[in-house]
Amino acid sequence: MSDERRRVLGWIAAGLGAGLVSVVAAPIALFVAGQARRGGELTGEDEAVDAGAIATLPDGKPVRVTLRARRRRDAFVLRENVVLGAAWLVRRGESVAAFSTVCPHAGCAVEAEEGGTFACPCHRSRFGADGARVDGPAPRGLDPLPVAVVEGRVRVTPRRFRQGTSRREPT
Amino acid sequence: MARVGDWLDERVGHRALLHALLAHPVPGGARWAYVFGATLLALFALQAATGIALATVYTPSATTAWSSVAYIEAELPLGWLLRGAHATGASAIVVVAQLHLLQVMLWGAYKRPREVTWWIGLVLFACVLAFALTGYLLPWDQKGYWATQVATSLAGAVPAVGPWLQRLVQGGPSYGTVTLTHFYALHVLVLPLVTLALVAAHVALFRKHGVTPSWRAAPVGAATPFWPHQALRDVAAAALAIGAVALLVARAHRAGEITLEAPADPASAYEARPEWYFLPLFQLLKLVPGSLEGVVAIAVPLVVGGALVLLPFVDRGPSRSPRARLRFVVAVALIPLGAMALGGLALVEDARSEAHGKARVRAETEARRALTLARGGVGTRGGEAVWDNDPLTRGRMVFAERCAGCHVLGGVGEREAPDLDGWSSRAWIRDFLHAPGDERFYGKTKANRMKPVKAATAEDFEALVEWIYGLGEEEGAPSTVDAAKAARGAAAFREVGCDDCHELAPPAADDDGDGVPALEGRGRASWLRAFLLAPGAARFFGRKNDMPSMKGKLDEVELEAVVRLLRAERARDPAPATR
Repeated sequence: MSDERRRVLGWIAAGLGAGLVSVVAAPIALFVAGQARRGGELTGEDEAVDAGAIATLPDGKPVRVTLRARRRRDAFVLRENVVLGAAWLVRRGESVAAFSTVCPHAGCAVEAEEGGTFACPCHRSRFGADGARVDGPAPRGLDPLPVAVVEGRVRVTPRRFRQGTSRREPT
Repeated sequence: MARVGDWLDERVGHRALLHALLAHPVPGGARWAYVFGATLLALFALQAATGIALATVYTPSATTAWSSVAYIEAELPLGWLLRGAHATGASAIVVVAQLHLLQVMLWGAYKRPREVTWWIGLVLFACVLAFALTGYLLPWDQKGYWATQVATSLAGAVPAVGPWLQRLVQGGPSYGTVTLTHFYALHVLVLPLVTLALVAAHVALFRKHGVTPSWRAAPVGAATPFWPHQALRDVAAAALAIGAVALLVARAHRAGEITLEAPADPASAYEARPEWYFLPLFQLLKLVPGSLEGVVAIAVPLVVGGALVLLPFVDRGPSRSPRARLRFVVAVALIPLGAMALGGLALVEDARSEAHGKARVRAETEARRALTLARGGVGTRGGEAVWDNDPLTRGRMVFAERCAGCHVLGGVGEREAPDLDGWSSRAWIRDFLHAPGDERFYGKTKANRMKPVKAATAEDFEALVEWIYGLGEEEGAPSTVDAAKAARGAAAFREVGCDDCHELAPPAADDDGDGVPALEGRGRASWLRAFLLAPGAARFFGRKNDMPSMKGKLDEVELEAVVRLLRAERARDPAPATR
């Protein structure tokens, strides 16, 4: 058998083998890559949730509330009464401001200080009572959350933003 | 390229390794008859690849196993293909492994010096069956759940240690999450590692002894190196096998075959059947009395397996020609023949059984419905929570939670406000017009001011019922309303004097309402939705309203579910006699 023929046969075998591997690998790659898109498909994420009665909020003093969705779809699991996150509520008269507790720097939970200002316990970013950045490594102020008062109840829309950027971009 | 290769070879020595792997001589030259081992390797690789892909989503827990598989099957791109390839690939391995075994049998390849290769091969075959058995349960669907019950109860029938063994396998007295994690650990960790080690040993021994040449005295041709001649045949066979798997999966998918049954339901009367390669054992169990079941189920595989293990010691003659070993060939051939006969019998019995056919139709309908409902995600109670996504089921749940304090439906609830059984069906309207002040209707509410309706004739009364019923028909949808009768009813509405109190069109928004509902669209989905959100609106009960608004109490999904539930009650005609 000539070397030439052996080489050709070798290329055919290798080509067929590589083809077979890619035919199997391609659908697997599509399947796994598809999860990047699907995984983020959560319902109940962008709806306002009840955060208690406005009457219970002291004027000017931040109050931490847990935000729960009545129902939330997480891939194949439908969960009820799910904790989505938390928010700081600050009441001034009849209006309420809401800030995400997630520090815009690296995602630690921001705490309130005496006097109504905020500080991050991880990297010592500090924020004013209006949420604006005062000092520390945080690239921007606290992230405000959409808030409304409906029939005496505070309704907050939970949102998540990218961390570490000076611009506020939703994730 | 060559320089990179040189650089790497100096450090890794891959060329010598490749040479050792690929250049070994095949005595007698490359042949198609030698492809079975390599095809099995390729199919195992397919199982590993698809299995890892599935494991990126699958969760082995009684609460989420089914829904994760449904998600893979119906929502992730090509999930059906990967899952189908994994399941069909398992069948393909059983087929090719049997062909491989059969060939070894015919060629007498288990003889000296290849006894150990033969035994390892037999253990590998047992591993294949164990893979199949453990994999079957993982979707936690009806089929897997019930078919595997049979296997674990058989484990429980093992003399002496049976009950303990069963509890160990199940992780407790009955099936639960730990049963799944046990099967999962076996399926994705223990069995793959054991199989990998055994395959390595099997292949190493094969390389040590070489292929078994044909029994015809001398090799027919000169030896050729494995690469590329045998390799080409091996790759072609692997491509054929994997292509066949893909084709079967695609065909089943196009035909809409059920690949995931409804979620496991321990309360159901599911007719379990094992995968085809376990059917012979299944049929065998039908033939033996219950008391002997455990013995037979364990003894038969043991005897068959034992006979195969001992084969090299029994068939010790030097000749490998099938003709010279006819009695062994026949004796061993009885195993697949017997299995085929039993399996065939099982299939024929099922095909002939009308009851089984009906059970299958029911199971498939449920499976399709469950897969559709799973698209919204499945609640955390477990796979069966998928039925909560059924609008009527969810509607009933919302009813029990929010409405049952005042309304009765399906035997649930307190009678403070109108009964909702058959709400606004013709029968309900008829009863209501006869006695609106009855406690089944508005008797206990502030809105109770309406007098019983007295029409001139029974026909007029029925026409009025038809007309009121017709108010709730959706525009443009097919209707069951008798138009002529309804037109007469519209006239009766005025003759009886209903219009003394009831308007048809809703009043202006600034009107606070006199507590008498306007009737336009009464019973339509849009009407129901508006009513539930604001029963005290002027167009409904106004200041005579007793019912709390559902605004803020029901979310969109729940509101929709209640509307559907009430629409379904309205469509129940005649209304059920639950009163």
